[in-house]
Parts: sequence; C-alpha cells; structure tokens
Amino acid sequence: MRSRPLWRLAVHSLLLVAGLVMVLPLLWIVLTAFKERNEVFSLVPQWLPARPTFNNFLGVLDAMPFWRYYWNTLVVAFGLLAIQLMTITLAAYAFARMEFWGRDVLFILLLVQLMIAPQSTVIQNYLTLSGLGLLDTRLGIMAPYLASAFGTFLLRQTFKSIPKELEEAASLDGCGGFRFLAHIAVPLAVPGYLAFALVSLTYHWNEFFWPLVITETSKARTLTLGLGIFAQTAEGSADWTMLMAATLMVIAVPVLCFLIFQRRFINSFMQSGLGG
Amino acid sequence: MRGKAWILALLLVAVAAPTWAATEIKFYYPVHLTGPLVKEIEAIVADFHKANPNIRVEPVWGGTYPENMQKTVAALQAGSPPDIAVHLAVDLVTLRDLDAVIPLDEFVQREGGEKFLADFFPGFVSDIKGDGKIWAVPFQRSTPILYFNKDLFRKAGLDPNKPPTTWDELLATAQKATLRDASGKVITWGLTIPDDIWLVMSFILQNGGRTSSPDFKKVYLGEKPAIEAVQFWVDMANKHKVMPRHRTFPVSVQDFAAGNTAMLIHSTGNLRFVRDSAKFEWGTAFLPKNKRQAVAIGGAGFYIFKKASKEKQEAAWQFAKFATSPEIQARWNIGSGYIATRRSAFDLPLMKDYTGKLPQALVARDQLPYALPEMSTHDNWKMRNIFVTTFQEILDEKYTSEEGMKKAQAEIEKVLAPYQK
Amino acid sequence: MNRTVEPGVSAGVLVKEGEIRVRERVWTRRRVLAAARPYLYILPTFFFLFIFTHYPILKTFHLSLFKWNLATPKREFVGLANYLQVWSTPLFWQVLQNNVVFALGTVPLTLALALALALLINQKIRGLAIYRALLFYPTMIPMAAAAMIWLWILTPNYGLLNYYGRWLGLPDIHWLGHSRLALWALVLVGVWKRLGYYMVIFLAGLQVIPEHLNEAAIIEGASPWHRFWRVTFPLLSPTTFFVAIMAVIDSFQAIDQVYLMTAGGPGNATNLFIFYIYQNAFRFFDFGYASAVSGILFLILLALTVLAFRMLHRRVHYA
Repeated sequence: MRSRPLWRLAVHSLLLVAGLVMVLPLLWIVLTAFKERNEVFSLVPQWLPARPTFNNFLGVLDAMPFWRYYWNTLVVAFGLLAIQLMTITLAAYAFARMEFWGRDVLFILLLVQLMIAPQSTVIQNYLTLSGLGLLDTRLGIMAPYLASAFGTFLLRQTFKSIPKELEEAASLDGCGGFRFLAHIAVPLAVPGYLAFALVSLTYHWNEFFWPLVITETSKARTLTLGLGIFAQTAEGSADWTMLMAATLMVIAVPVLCFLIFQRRFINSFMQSGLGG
Repeated sequence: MRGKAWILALLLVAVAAPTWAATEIKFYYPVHLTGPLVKEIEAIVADFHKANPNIRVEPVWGGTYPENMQKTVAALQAGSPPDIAVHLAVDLVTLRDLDAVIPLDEFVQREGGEKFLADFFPGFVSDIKGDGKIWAVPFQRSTPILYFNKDLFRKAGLDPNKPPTTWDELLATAQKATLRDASGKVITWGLTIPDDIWLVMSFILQNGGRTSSPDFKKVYLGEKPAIEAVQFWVDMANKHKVMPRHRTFPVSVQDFAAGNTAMLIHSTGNLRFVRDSAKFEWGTAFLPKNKRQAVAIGGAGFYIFKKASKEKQEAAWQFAKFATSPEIQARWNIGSGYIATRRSAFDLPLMKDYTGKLPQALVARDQLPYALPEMSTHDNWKMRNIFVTTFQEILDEKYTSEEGMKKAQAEIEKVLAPYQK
Repeated sequence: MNRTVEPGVSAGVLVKEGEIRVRERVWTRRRVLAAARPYLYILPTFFFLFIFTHYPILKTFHLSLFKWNLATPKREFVGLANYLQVWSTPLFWQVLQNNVVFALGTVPLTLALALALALLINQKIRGLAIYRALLFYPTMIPMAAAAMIWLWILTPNYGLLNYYGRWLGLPDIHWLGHSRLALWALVLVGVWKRLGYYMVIFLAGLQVIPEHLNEAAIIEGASPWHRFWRVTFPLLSPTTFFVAIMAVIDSFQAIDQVYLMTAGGPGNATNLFIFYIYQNAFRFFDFGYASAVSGILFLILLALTVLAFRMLHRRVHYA
C-alpha cells in the first residue's frame, strides 16, 4: 500500500473530519450537561460552560425515578440474555449439527424474525401480553425477544465450524449428544456467545419503541424510554441543559463499556454482519 | 407474660388497622411539564394522606395528555382501569363512549350542589357537563394568553405598556417589532404562535366563528369565519412575515424566554418557566379580539371510573374534593401557572401575595369571562390530528385556507359519520 | 439413526445373540428419542417464536378483517373493508411515499459513506483504533439519545447547524419545521447513527479479501481506482447487496426518531409506516385499520425478504 506523506495526510484529514462530525455531538452533550439553563440560548454557541454546575444532574434525579429505570434496564437486558443463551444454544446446535425432517423449512421460519422486527408486530404482541396480564411488566418487555433468530444464526455458524471428527471422537468416549454440547461445543463457542451477548445487551439497553408500547407506568420502564419520555414533556424539551444531563446519564454506561472493550464490541458487530 | 403479649398484639392491631383498613385508589395523571409538577402532585397526595389516613392514593404519572389517555384506554381494555384520573375536558366524549366514567352529581349534591359549583369559575364547569350531568371536577385549567417582551417593545419604539388589543393592532405591532438585518434576514420575530389547534380555535372564536357542536357530532371548519381566521394567521406568517412557521409548543416558549420573539401566544401554564428563565421585563395580556373577545379554555379535571367499587369511588371523590379545594388550588396555581379553578382561591392571602408580586398571573383569570369551551367531538384525537396536519399544510401553502379547511371539514365528517345517530 | 446393537447389555436390557425381538424394541425406543431430540432442542425457540413472531403476523391479517374502533367497540367482521379504506386514504399513500423516499435517501448515502470510510480505515495508518472508535460509537447509544442531540443541533437560531450555516452565509433553517426538509433531517440522523455499524461490516468484508489478489493487480499496474472497481468492489458486492436490503428493511421499520423528533409532522411530512400504525392503534384506537396497514407492511417486508434471499444465495456461491 502507498505510504507517501501526501496520501497519508489526505487519509488522516478525511478521517479526522468524519471523526469530528461523529464526536462533536457527544462533546456537546457532555459540556452542555454542566451548563446553566440559559447559557444554551445565546446566539453564539458557547462550548465551554461559564459556570459549571451539577444542578442539572440533581434535577434529573428529581424529575424521574432514574435508579428504578436503571435497575429495570439491568434486569431486562441481563435477564433476557440469560434466557436467550439457553434458547439459542439448543436451537443453534440442532440446526448446525443435527439432521431432521423439515430442517430447512424450519430454518426459513426462523429467519422470519430477522425480517419482521418487533416494531411491526406491536399491536398483536401488545394484545397478547395484555391478555396474559403482562402489560407494564419487565417480562412483557422481554417476551418478544426470548427467541432470537439472530443469536441462533450466529451461534449456528460457530457450531458448524466445530470439526465433525471431534464430535465423533467424543461420542466414542461416551461424551455424545447433550453432553458433547454442554461440555465441549459450548466452551468452544464462547467467542460466538460473547459476540451475541454484546449485540443483544446493546440493543436492549437502547431500546425505545417496544418498551414504550408495552409499559404504562414507571414500574417497568427502562432507561432509554425514560429519557425519551422526559424529553417529550414540555419542560424536558425546554430545558436543554437538564435534557443533556439526562442523556449523558443514560449513555454513560454503554459508552464507557465501549471505550474499555472497544475491540470486543466492534468484533461482535462485525460478526453480526457476516453472520446475518 | 401472657398479659404483655396481648397488649402488644392489641397495639400492633391498633397501629396496623388504619393501613389495612385503608382504601387504596389508583390515580393516573398527565403532566405536560415535569420536574416540579410531578413533585407538586406528589405533595398534594402526601398532604391528602395526612388529612385522610384511611385512604391511600397511588399516583401514577402517565406522560402527556394523549399518552395518559392511551394508558387509561389500555387499562380499560385490560379490565383494570384506574379509579380516578385527570383527563382533558375534551376527553369526556371518548370516556363516555367507552362507558368508563360515572357522573358526579350525587357527590356534588352532598357538598351543596349549586352552591358548591358556584365557587368554580363558570367556564370550567360548562364543558364538563353532559346530558345535564356533571362528569368531572376541574383541576388544571388554562387559557392562552399573550406574552410580550417589554424590552424588545422599547427597542422597536413601541409603548411597553400598550400591548395590542385587536387583530389589526396585533399585526401592526408585530410588523414594528420584527427586526431584520441589512440583508433582510430576521433577527427577532414580532410574534410567535406554535402550531397548536387549541390556539387556532381561539382565533376562530375571536372571528365570531364556531368550532364544534355541543352534541359533539359536527364541526364547522368550512365556515367563513373559520377560514378567515386561519387566513389571518397564515398571512402573518407568509405574507407579512412577522411570524415563523411550525414552531412547536415547547420551542416557541424557549424562543420567547431567549428573547428571540417580541410576542408569544401560548398557555398560561408556561408562566412559571417564563418567570424562571426570562432575563428581561415582560408582560401578559388578553388575546387580541376581532369580532369579539374570546379564547378557548384548555385543561383537565378529575374523572372517577365506573369499574371502581363504591368504596373506592367515595375515596376518589374525597381526593378530588381535596385537590380542588381553594387552598390546594392556590398552591397549584403558584407552582404551575394553571388557573386556580376556585374563585375563592384568589382571595387567600397566599394568592394575594403572589399576584401582588407577579400581576401577570392574573391575566388568565381576568380573561375567563370571555372563555368558551374547547372544540370537542367523538373520536377527538383523530379529529384533532386531521385538523392540525391540514392546518400545517395550509401554512406550507399546499392548499389555500379555503381549500384546506374544506378538506379538513370533509375528512372529519367522514370520521364522525358513524356517530350521527 | 440406524445402529446395530452388539450382544451384551444395552439400554439396560440383556440382549442375547439371536434375540431379534429385543433388538427391534431397543432400536425403536432409541430411534424415537433420537428422532425427537432435534425437535426438543428447537422447541423453546419455536415456542416463543410462534407466539411473538408468527402468530402476530397471522393474527394481524385476521384482525384486519374486522372493524374495531371507538365507534365500534365490539369487533365486527367487515371483510376487506379496511383495506379498501386504506386504498382510498390519501394519507396512507403519503406515508408510503415518505417511507420510500426515506429509504432511498438513507440507504445509498449510508452505504457509500460507510464503504468510503472502511476503505480509508483499512489503510495502514496510525491512530486507526481511535478513528474507528470515533466513527463507531454512535452504534452504542440509543437512537433516542441521538434524537435528543440532533433535535438540539437542528434548532433554528442557536442550534449548531444553523450557527455554522450562518458562517457559510446560509439562511436560518428550521429543519424540523420545514415540510420539505424535515424528512431529510431524519435521514441525516439515521445516517449519522448507522454509519459506524455499516463501516465495520464493510471492514470485515474487506479484511477477508485475499491480499494476493490486490498485489496481483498492483503488479499488473492497475491504479487504485481500477483496483477498487475490478477487485475490491466485485468481491464485496454480495455483502453490499445483502446489507443494502437489510438497511432498506430497517428503514421501513424506523420509528424512534420520528416519534421523538417530529411526531410525523409538519403536516405528515415525516409520517412513516410504524408511526402511522402506532398513531392509528394507540392514539385513535382504531385497531382494525391499523392492522390492515400492518398487513400491508408485512407484504412489503416479505417482498424485500425474498429479494434478500436471492442475494444471500449469490453470496454463498461467490464465497
């Protein structure tokens, strides 16, 4: 590849511009969260806060049950992941390594979930969960995702890559079938699980619309939804500094996790593209 | 030993009794402004608990007006509606269509009937009556008012103590107050009105027009006064260019507080925000009149639900009564900007003190004699959506006022067709 | 699962040589278990999948044949009346048009920029990880947060975009209040949010392109431009097409930014499918009509899916 200084300068400049366009909004969020309310109305954008204050954060904690939202989000994201890990392991293994009648058709049926996002099936899922008494519950938020076509697909790729010889050798040693799955296949597939986990956690931490439909009160509400609702009400949107503080509080954890585990996150999402 | 055990048991029962004898009621409420308002409601609930230890109210914040309505309807469908809720006066039709709420006449009679109602401002009672019965207790009511920036008035050479009182004056003032730079770009607008049907309604009423029928089955948007009213608004934005287009409800208030617009027509409920944010001298005034002085009343009241047991309905009434008492209404007014629904609230020392310091707060109340019920029909939210989107299209010059209003009229008539029985 | 059973103890049953009857029974029991196993494995997944994906699709079509709204609180069968109503509602066609424009605006732009950035990042330069992080992080934040910040940036007067626009001599634009521009503002937010994700997908695709192909092209004296079009792009194209279809499917299901930034306005200029469905179901309480619109959305997504499958097959063959 070329390494002429001019070329490198060009590449750096373009990437720098792109990077700035991406990061400036984040920078604005962080800085504005510390400003006083009226600073944002000046016609000349003040980047740095004149008199940095923590009031906005305190105001947010006052205005919404932040910790309850936080806890709900943790329960939903991790609880869901736990169940998903079980359902996708079994299903992926079956699709990857077992022969059975109708396998291809069933696989296509599985893929339907990739094409029809939960947004499109809200009405009926809402009615179903209402009938089951699961409206406004965390389980209700998790329900449509308990089966994950994406996870199954991803894990299937991973399981498929385990050599057949390994399985045959193991079964001769008495470690066939389920025991092979549990003791050998699963540990070998850890990278796949990790990739899935990061994608799933990110998605559900950040989800807005489905929780909006299925929750009524702050009982089961999650963080991102709480942020959206906070913004909708007039004071939230008139009070930019408080809104930015709320936004910062909501994105802090995902962004920090990302900064620490960058490589892992990016690899996970890379796999999601190749796999699905 | 035995004796002591008995005493202990009795004590426990005595302490626990009020709580398990307590009637629990679920209360859904909307708030368009969060933060302090959620706290205000919670404070009202806390004070209610102190005064009524045998009732426990569980307040549930349901979001904005449409969101709260959606939650109530969802809860109704699921078979577990709230016991008491705050909904818009115009939601009465929908709630009755769903057979969800009970008339409150019995409770009102017990409190003194007409005498009780007389302390409420008449405008707030007129729109929660249906078939001769009373269906709600007015809790958070408002009217639109004219906010104006006195400093900007001075700058434009206008008398800061003479806000416009007629449509012609409004236009003239806005023209003078719109400041442009050398290239013609606007620096400050003369007037800002957000795209809100509630405000359009007021203009229609001021032009001598009418909006909807008292039986909730018809609308009159295709009539001349309505078309003219819309045309006036559209001209101010497009022809005279004294007003920006499509400012949203919250953004328009921010604009005013930031000093970007000399005048603002908006709800009195924003008084607190303006008070806290404006760094200039400002005043409030009646909305300018044309053929008559008129405004549409906005806001909401307490509804009590049919599915609740008699006991809970009684408890709910106690809460509604408490929250609409003069003292609480005075506090609510000061904390929010909504008009205290009780006349006597304004005589309380707390209020007199507040309005002494902030006379702007009295304008909304003084405008009440000219307040008329808000436009309301069956399938209200759908009707409003058609109205506002068509209105926005008229502003965008996709249609002329006449074409647009007639189109909206036709579409709404289709929506209301099933109800014409 | 044919397996011969050796004489001895098997499945707890003593099998003697010549005991054909016993062998058959043992086979059958084993066979049944073995045959059932895959189905048992996929059962949990398909159980939930059926309830929350397949059943809703079927039930939505079913519900779309009923009138169920505030005027008709008890469901009434009306056949295809809802679909006829959808057909004759100009707003529906506007929503369809909006969504198509939105897809056409978002997808090519996002993919082109993502590919370009992936090519740049794929160069061996210093600070690669930092650029990658800067470009990718929007994937980690919720669309709701992106909506908040862009709501601010797009505000007239003191919003960042208008401020810097004024530097360039552009007039003050109220993006979200402009009937023509509002949709493009949403496109902008969508592109900003997804760019990093697609860039990373392309990066993965670029990295599996065998280096020797490129080197062969260099030896043959091909310019970078040629190399890209003759070597890189063709090898990437199945990935590109597949990602494009997924992106189009995504844009027909966009909702967060619509709900939070424009509520479909001004004047329905940014009313997209999911928002339209949401409005009709949860604001106007017209479940029959909303189900009909949902049904139509499913048919559109099905058509796109079939297209995606064709692309998937091509990719498998290429690889």
